[in-house]
Amino acid sequence: MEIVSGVDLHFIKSKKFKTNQIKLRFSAPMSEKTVAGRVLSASMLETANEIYPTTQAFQERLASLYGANFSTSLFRRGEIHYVDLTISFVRDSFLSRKNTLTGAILEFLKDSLFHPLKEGQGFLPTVFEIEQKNILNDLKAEIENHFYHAHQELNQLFYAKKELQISRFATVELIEKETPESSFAIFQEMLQKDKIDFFFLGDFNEIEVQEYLKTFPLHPRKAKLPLYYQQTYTNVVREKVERKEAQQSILELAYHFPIQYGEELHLPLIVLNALLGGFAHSKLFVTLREKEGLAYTITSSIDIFSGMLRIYAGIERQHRKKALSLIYRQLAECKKGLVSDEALQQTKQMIKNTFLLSLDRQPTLIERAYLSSVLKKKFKTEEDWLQMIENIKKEEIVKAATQLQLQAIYFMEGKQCRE
Amino acid sequence: MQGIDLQQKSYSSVGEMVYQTILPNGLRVFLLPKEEFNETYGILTTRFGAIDTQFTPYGEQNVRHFPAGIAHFLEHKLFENEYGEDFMQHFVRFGAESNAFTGYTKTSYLFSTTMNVSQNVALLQELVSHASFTEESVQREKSIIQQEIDMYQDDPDFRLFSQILANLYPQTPLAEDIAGTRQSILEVSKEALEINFETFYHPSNMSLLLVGQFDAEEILSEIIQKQGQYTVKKREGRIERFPLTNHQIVETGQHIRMEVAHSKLAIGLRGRDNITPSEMYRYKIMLKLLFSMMFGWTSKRFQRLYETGKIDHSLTLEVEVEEAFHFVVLTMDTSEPVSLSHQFRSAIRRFEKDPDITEEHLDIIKSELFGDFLHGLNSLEYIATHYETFIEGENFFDLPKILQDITIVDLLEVGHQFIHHCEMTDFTIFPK
Repeated sequence: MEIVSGVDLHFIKSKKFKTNQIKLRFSAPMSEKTVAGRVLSASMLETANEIYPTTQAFQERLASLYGANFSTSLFRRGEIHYVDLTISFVRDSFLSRKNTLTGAILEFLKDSLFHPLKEGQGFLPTVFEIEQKNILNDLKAEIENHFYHAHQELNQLFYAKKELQISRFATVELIEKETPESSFAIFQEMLQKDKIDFFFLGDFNEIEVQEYLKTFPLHPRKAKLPLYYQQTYTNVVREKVERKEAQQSILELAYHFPIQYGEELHLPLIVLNALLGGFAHSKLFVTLREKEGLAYTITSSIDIFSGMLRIYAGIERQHRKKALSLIYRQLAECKKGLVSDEALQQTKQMIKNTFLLSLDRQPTLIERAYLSSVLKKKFKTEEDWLQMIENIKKEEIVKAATQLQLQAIYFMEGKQCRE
Repeated sequence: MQGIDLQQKSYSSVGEMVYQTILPNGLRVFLLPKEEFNETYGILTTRFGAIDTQFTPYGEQNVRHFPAGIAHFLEHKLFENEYGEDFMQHFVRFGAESNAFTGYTKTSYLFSTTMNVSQNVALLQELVSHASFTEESVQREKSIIQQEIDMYQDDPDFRLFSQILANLYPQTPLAEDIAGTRQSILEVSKEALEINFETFYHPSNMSLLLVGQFDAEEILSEIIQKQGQYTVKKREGRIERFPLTNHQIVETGQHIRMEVAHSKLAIGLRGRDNITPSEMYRYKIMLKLLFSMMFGWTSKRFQRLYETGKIDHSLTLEVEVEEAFHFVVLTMDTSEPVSLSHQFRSAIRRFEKDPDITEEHLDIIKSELFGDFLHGLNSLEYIATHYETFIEGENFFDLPKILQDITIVDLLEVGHQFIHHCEMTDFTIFPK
């Protein structure tokens, strides 16, 4: 359903949950020029607005709307940067008095978008500066989260293109450069030029919602969104070793694959990843954690929109070589088809289980509505997808495995004398 | 049904229903069927946690002392069956994910699945029904647990919380990591694990809760049948546990340095109140309301500190009310830990005159807590991990009713009991 060109509306009917959820998604190409402004705008939006101009007033209003939650989040998919604004609130049937919360919530949303906390042509400087400082602190606090840090370092090594190296939260340098005016201008650009999707999950009067959204001053726009990113494999494995004060060391590997969403080997790749490191029965977990006792954390994941398979492990520093050779061996076994029928069957069953579980969660239902709208025919129904997973043969998995090529290795060496 | 009385409790205002019973062998069973979900979540809990290191073992006369981290160690080892196989892999065979966690007073084993519910429920019972491990496998487990301990040690927020507890409860098991120390777990032996298992993994000390897609009557008869296969002697009386000793708390001003961007401050309050078990849940809610009013983000205090950049959204409030201990811990990232600790502690002492404690503010906080509660009910995991299976009287689903009942006078009274008898301290992590 389209409100104006480039602004879409999606309803997902459900009475399964005790709360309704509204999500507003801004999508634009990832860019060094806008990412910091987008991060700061998100932060300003969830802090206050002109009607509720302090954190206290803003939170008081949400609390009085039966503990409604209003939050923003940031994601990257392919070369797209998303700013999501999510509001969830109790369904009317659980309120003691006769109430319709949806109206009040939509009004709050409208105020937040079109009456942001501003002064002149910028965000209100006093609040902006606090938010800027808090974001800078969070980015600096990255050093506290070793796995997050290691992921970022591996991204830098693996991706050739700048836009993919940048964190979805921007960088200290980019955030520092922003001013109340520059960020406000980027927010206005989001409202005017970004692709916008509204999702309503739960129990809504669709006609009323639609009528209300038509009062939002949103104009037609044409956004080009680079959902798929693919780089070519280069012959040199890029490596980096860093020393940090930590008890634990972290080893991360990035493999390149040329498979894209919806292609023949996409689902075999999903099964391969699950066999290798997606679950507790996966080869990496069983070998490195259970048999060898080398790693408490060991897992793998794929990003189909950017062609990367990531393996990471938390190990003791003297075990780096041993862990590496065991990881290589597990993948080599997959390439040779050394996978038992039982393991394959279990893996398919676990994928099915994870998939069905995810359908019990609100974010999944919204993400499926979104993907279905952007991927069109490539996006499969629940039944088709499950059937396709069930039909995958070992040969296809081997074929997917042979597409993987090691491209980058990052090692964070923990150096700390034990107390 | 075979003389088993299945009690039904309905919480219509929140759309929840609980079936519960106690089996002849003492196992407490709770069933919460939910048709509209694909998932079934099962959780088996024993009243045995990190604080239980001194007790009279079953069949013995005297109190014995065991190394810190033994409950957690046993949790790891129970995942192994008599053939040395990992139970996790058995759950995988039935299409379930499984896990376990050890707390201060309890250990829980759980699975989550969308298929083969009966088989997974049986497996969960099987898992805790006997201990079978070899000396060699006990030795091997030590290196895995040591890595787990290391991983937690690298997390500053984890360190902050464990240190404030250590300062509140020095020379008790609460002063140690739940997983123990690199040293203490070296002392864990096969024999010690077996004694702990024998004492605490008796059905009369355990509960089984299922929430999700199943038929209550059918699953109950399967549970009864399964429990009937185990030959356990009926046990009377409680396990004799050596109580926590309240030693002198560690004074304020203790700190360490770590690689953090900002100082991290924790303020801890050790309660010394007498709370009857049936009041525990309400007491906890009241402390939460009281401290949220004073320090939450709808308070004037928070707003002032936020506007001046002294505090950010990292502020957390943790309230624990157990039979053996009760405490309140506030943690935050702040640029001025010393002055903030002082301000907060004197505000707590003078809570009766606090400008943030008003009728209107209480209504707002209640409304917020009600919303958070209903949000939580969207998740079966949240329900399964929040429903208390060992307390009589009010529980989790009574929250809306409790919120309606509580007045500002009640809160001031509980505040008076708790705060006037409590001891306070702090702990800080400074950047390097």
